[in-house]
Amino acid sequence: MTTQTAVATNTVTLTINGQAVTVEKGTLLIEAAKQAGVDVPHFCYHPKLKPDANCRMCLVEIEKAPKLQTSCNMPAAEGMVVSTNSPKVAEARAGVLEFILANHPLDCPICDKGGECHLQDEAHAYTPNYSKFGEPKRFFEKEYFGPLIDKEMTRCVQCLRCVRYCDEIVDSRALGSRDRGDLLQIGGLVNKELDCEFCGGCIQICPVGALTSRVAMYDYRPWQLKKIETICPHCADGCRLKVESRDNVVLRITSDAGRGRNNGDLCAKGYFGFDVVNRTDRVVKPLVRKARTLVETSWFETTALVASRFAAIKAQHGGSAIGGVISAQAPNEDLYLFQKFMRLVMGSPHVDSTARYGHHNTVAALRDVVGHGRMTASYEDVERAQALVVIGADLTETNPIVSYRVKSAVRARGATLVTIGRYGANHGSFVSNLVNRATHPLTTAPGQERAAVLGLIKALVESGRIDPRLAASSPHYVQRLSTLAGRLSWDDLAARAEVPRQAMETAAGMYAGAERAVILFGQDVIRSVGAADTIRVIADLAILAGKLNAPGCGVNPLCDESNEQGAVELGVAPDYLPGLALATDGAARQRLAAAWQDELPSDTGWTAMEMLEQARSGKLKALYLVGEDPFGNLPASAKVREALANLEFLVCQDVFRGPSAEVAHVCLPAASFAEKEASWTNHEGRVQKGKQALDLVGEAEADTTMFSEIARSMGYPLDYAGPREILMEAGRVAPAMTSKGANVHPGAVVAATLAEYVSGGYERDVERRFAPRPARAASSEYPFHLTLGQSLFRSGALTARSAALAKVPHQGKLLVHPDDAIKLGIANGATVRVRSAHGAASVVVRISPKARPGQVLFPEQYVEAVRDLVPIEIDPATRVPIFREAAVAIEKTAEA
Amino acid sequence: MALSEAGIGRIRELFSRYPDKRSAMLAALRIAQEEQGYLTEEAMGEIAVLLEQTPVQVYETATFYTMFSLQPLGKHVIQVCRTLSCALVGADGLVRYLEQTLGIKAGETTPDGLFSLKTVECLAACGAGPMMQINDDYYEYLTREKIDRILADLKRDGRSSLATGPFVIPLQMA
Amino acid sequence: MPNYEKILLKNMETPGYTGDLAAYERAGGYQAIRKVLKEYKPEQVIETVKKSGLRGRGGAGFPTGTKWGFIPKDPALTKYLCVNADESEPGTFKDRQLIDRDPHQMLEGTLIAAYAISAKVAYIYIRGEFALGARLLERAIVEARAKGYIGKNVFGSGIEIEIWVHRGAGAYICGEETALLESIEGKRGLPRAKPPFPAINGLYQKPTVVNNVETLSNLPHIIMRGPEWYAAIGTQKSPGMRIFSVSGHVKRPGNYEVPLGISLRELIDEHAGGVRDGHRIKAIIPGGASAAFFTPEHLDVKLDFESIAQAGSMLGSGGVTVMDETTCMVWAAYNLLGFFHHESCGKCTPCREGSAWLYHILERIEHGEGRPEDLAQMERLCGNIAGKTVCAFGDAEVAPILSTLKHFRDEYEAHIREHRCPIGEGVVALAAR
Repeated sequence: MTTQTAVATNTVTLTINGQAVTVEKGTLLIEAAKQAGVDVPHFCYHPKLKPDANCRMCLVEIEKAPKLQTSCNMPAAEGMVVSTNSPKVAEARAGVLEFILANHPLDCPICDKGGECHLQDEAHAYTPNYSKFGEPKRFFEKEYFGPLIDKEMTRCVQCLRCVRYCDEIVDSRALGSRDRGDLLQIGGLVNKELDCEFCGGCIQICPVGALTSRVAMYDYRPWQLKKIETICPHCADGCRLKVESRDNVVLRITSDAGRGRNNGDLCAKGYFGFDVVNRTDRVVKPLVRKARTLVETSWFETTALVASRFAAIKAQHGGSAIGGVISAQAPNEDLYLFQKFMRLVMGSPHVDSTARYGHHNTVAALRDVVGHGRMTASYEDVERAQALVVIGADLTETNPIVSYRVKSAVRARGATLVTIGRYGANHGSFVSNLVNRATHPLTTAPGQERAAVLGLIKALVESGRIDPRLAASSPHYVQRLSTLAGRLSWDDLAARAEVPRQAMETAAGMYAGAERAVILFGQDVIRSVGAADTIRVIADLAILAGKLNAPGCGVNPLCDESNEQGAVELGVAPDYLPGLALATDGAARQRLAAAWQDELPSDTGWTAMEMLEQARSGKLKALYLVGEDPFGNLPASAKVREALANLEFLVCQDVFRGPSAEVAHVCLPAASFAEKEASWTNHEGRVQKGKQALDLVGEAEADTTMFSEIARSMGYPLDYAGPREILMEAGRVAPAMTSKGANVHPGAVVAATLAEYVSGGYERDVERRFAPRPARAASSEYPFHLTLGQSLFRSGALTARSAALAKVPHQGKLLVHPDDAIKLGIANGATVRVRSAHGAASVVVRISPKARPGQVLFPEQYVEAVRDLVPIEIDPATRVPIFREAAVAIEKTAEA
Repeated sequence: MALSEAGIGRIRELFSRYPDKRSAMLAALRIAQEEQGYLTEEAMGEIAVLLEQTPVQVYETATFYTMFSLQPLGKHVIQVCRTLSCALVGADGLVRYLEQTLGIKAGETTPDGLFSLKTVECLAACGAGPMMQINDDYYEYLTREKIDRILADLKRDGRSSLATGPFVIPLQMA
Repeated sequence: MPNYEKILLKNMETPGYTGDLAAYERAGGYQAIRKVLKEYKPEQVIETVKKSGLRGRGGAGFPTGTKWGFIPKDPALTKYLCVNADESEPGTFKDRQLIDRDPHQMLEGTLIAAYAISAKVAYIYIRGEFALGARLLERAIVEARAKGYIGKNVFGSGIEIEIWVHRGAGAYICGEETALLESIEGKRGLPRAKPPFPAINGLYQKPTVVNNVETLSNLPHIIMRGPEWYAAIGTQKSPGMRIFSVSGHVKRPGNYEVPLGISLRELIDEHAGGVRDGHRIKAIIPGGASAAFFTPEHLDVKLDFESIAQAGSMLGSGGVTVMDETTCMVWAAYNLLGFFHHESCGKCTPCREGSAWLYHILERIEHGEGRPEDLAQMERLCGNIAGKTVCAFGDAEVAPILSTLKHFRDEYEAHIREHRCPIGEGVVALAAR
């Protein structure tokens, strides 16, 4: 067989309605038709879901086939002759619609799907004007389905899209069918309210009005809505969503299949969290403290006041007496302009962002390895991986869209999933849990993720599975790390990690044996002491296995806030300049000064924590806070209030009045994410632009407008024609921010940086990072280990204000293992007192094996007092404050 | 705990027969129903954890099959076949007779909790009809007299010797 | 009564036959599988069964050897054999007898089939209501396992074949092969859309064959006596014997094993004793509730796949139901639609909505509330169901209506015109036994 004759084609050519069309082999007929511009009507088919062929609406006629065939599950074959509009097909279609309409209620006037309903559209197109059905209609009793999602089963067409979506995409499996035949209906458990992840996917995918949102129920018709796309601000996944509003009030959010990095999937925050923007308690006018009360003041007066106060402090104490902290949820334009404003207008080197709480660890670790802190494998790589290793992440809670990709890889493509982390499986829950899907779960002692990773490296070395190309090109690197791995003791690693040696060896084998393998690591690693070392070790693992830079492989940090990448890459940090150059890099400083046509401040800058310290000591006189109140996140031991109260001048620029506003001198009303044209950089490094979806509310302004106004008032104008111009300038000084095209992954490894790393850079701190972290000190007074994690339903101060999200059941509870619950004598719903060396808090218990014995889990943003339980430890190298874990005692106080 | 230790053990034993724990679903539901008389939410939740499914997946499966009940049933569940072959030889009349005798309608349970009455579809006893199944036992070639005897036996002893053994028809000559 | 040499019912008709393993072996059992393991490669077993012309006895009548041939030969793939013991087709009760009375015959056939398709595991899907049958099967399997006939090393051959009983829980649709697979997987028994087909993507997405109890029970005999012997029985295209379950208004309802190709008249009159005294046959269903009704005009139709199909019905499950003149045809169709309405799984639109709609119309007509447009309406609805559904249930549910409309339209018209059922309640008095 020669290569000439054995021509492998992976296309087929067929005829649809007389038109020839060529498609990839395996393409379903309905999709081939779409490519040919022919829309085949359907209910149950959806490109994201496995075909179910139950509605029978997509029947087409295929020449030589005895019966009509559903086009949604029939692959196109060479030479097929298909008709989607023959008389037989028309008759079948009309027949199906007649069957559906027979029992369908005449609800259109009260059905929220009206105007965007598959059934309306197809009935309009394909049926006669009157019904021949003369029997009593089947009727389902209406059952209350919960405060967020409404269920009207008389409208249901039993396409099962909702059930299939909840199963195949979300893996929550909270929806199911009940009974059979014409009594088949959809529901949750028995007749109870729905308990699930509330991603809104079932509402979006329902072709009729059987599942609708109760938020804004009956309030609108879809044609009344103004629909504008932007980017979700609630996490770093970077979903594209459509803000749909009327009269400047957001009524709902949607996301179209095929759009954005999320392909139309959302999570509860994106889907239901929009009501935050509509709240009437937003700051909509400038507020100035006059005689101890914040008073609404005109922009004219306020701007003048702010400018003059900053200028006065600058004149008297120097620019270094002023600091600025901005939220890493801010868009790139805000971030870039803010650091320029601070450095040039204020003349201050003290500028930082909330990326300081964790992401700086990632950047410190990976900047010298891959050249940046971005995911080196795209979401598509994650979905197509054959092996996935998820380290230190409660992924389904923190980054739901990435978790959909991981779950799809495992369920639809049979990928191996190794989880390394402190969470256990909790089958039977309606909120998906990655450990439930892990093929190789390695449950580690809290804080010992590094020990497990070192174990994987050791197994890799000992089983001779180091990448041969690496061994040939970088023998010193391989030898050095092999020797270090050899010195580690299996017994020690296994005991520390609380993972058997064999499990680590097996996991290493699965990882090494997969051609396409991606490692993802999350906040349990990123926000730990010594994180940068742990992250480097993770990178070493990938490099040794030959899976950092290979196609389809990579190492992916899972970021928390929506623009942590942008914050650090645009130099909103005392230690970096825009473009990820070190602030101490003389050449970079010169280049930036040239671009800005002005000198940069020469003093060493303070991080956010240091600014607080200096505020307490009196050296920092003024502080400019932009975005969510970043200091609402810190525990009481940070003595935030004391620090802020000591300032001569505090400006809070935000959408809402946070806790810092109590001691602020000025509150400036900021536009929300939906009210500005802006761009955000997700953790893939993709810069995504959002349009302004809403008009500005009250007298609120875009943050960039406010920076420009204050700058001009201070005699140092920073004027731009618009956000686009700001981003273009940012792109000139930070070229990685510019788009490289839709199909190029922006987080690709920088080859030169990696080469430098393996040829020598690896040596820095190598012995320190190849040592496992010290074991937790056992304490009889505080026998439990508390980890503050994240809830799927609340990712920060903004989502904490959502009335809709607050209605989701089961959130904000202390997870306790069943065995521990028995020992403590507590049942589900009991109230307990959690005590640490730093304080006490009262919380409600939820029993779940997701918390391992001896550990408890609680999500951030729910109970302030819990936050105050944890000590703060500042990483000396990266200056990242770690305040996520504590040793605690638990006492029962009240029954459920 | 809704399921007994023994019940859980019996369910776990089944796992080695299948590559997927979910395959033990019908058997697990049957065991739970045997133990408690019907399927409770609690039992379904426990089955979910055992089989690594969600409770909804267990519930939706349970509601699909006729033999599972989410409502309490009587001690003896009388299921009379109403499909054609049995109807041709008087099944409808027998149903009415049973309703009269027990004082309940099909679909209901006697107040003393002893008998539930249901009509069901073909039980593959078509040549020996009219017939009924009570719990695990078939009772065939029914007449009113036979029905009276069976009900009396069940009330008195909890079982009846009129239950059909291994099936053969036409009846063999001895 | 013509005397045919029984194959499948032979053992159990021997007086004193207990059906346990010792009795089965005394009657010559478990020789065929030994022969197969020693002398045949799997492909050869397939060829043998193909040569015999054996066709499925569940209802579809698909050639068994051909079905086995669809299984991919790649040894790395796991394959499964499923035994369809879900017998729920109204009028059919043959598999129950085979299971209760001669379980080892079926088990031996299962072993042969599993070997032929290189399946290491076979699941017997037995309907939940067959509690006794499941117990008897389990007991037989325990016996066979104890002697090494089932398990890791069957008959010392080094081949592994496990057989497990898997009980259903009450759903006729689980007799449909892909619904059966879903049910074994522990899910709702919804048929799968095809393509893909079970031979490629079956149980747990692996290549799978589903065979009926009676089909498998034939295999030991085909092996021992040769495919040519089997092919010589019956007709050319429908070889072999077949167990017909006869019920309804006949003197001797029961299971009758006869060669395919005898006439319907012979089966009813000479085996089942004919219609009950003092009555005449009005209608016959030849192959289970999914088969179109026949009239006395069809009594001479030959009972084989082709002849019955040509005459407008189907051989199906072999469940022959005889109705005499006391039976109202509208009532009969109404009764059967009650069955279909109850058993519809609800997956696809035409059957889910259509079975209910048709049932309601028939209910009205039978109770005197029929309308003139009902008949044409039913025909139209049947046209929108047949051929348009996920599985054959749709085609099955329209068969009683279309065939009774075809042969007994005047009865329907009388119901509508007179606003009552002319025969009375359409219900026959208690049979005297």
